[in-house]
Amino acid sequence: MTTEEIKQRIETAIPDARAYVLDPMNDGEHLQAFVVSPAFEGIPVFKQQQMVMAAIKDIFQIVHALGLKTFTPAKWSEVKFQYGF
Amino acid sequence: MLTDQLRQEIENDIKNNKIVIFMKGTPEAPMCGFSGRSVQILQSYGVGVKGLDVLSSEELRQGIKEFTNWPTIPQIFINGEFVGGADIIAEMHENGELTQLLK
Repeated sequence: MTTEEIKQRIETAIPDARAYVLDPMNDGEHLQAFVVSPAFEGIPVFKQQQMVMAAIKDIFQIVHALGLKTFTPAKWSEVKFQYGF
Repeated sequence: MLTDQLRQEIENDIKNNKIVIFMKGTPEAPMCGFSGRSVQILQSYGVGVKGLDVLSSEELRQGIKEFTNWPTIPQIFINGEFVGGADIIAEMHENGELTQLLK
C-alpha cells in the first residue's frame, strides 16, 4: 500500500482533512502521518487519533507502525514548521 | 476474536487498575520499542502500571484490537478509559496532560 493510498483513505474518512503521509525510513512499514482537519476542533487529541486509526485499521495487515499526529487547522499553521512543512 | 469472556476480563482489568498497557513483552522485558518507551514514560509518574503481554496470547492480541477499534500495539488505558498508543502517550507526557490524568 502506497503512502498516496493511505493519504486518500484518511482524507475520505475525515471531513475536510488534509493528510500528509511519509515513509521516512523508506521501508513501506514504518510510516508517519500528519492529519489536519476542522473536524478535530474541540475534540481531545487522543480522540482525534482514534477517529483516524479506526478509519484505516485494515492497513496494519501490511504497515507495521504509523506515527500519527493530528491537528486543527489553527494549530497546524502554528506548529507545522517544527515538522519541516 | 473477542469473546464475551475476554471482553469481561479486559473490562475488569481496566476497571481495577489505574494504568493498563497491552504491550509486546512485559514492563520488565518489553519486546518492542514502542511498548518499551510507553512503559518507561508511564512508570516515570510513580503510579503502578499493569502490563498485559499480547505476545503470550493471540486471542488477546486480536481481541484487544477489536475491543478498542485501534489497530496497533501498545494500547494504553488510564482511569478505565482507552487513551491510545505510543505516540499519544509521548505527546500527553510532553504537554502535561498525563500529569492531569494521573493526579
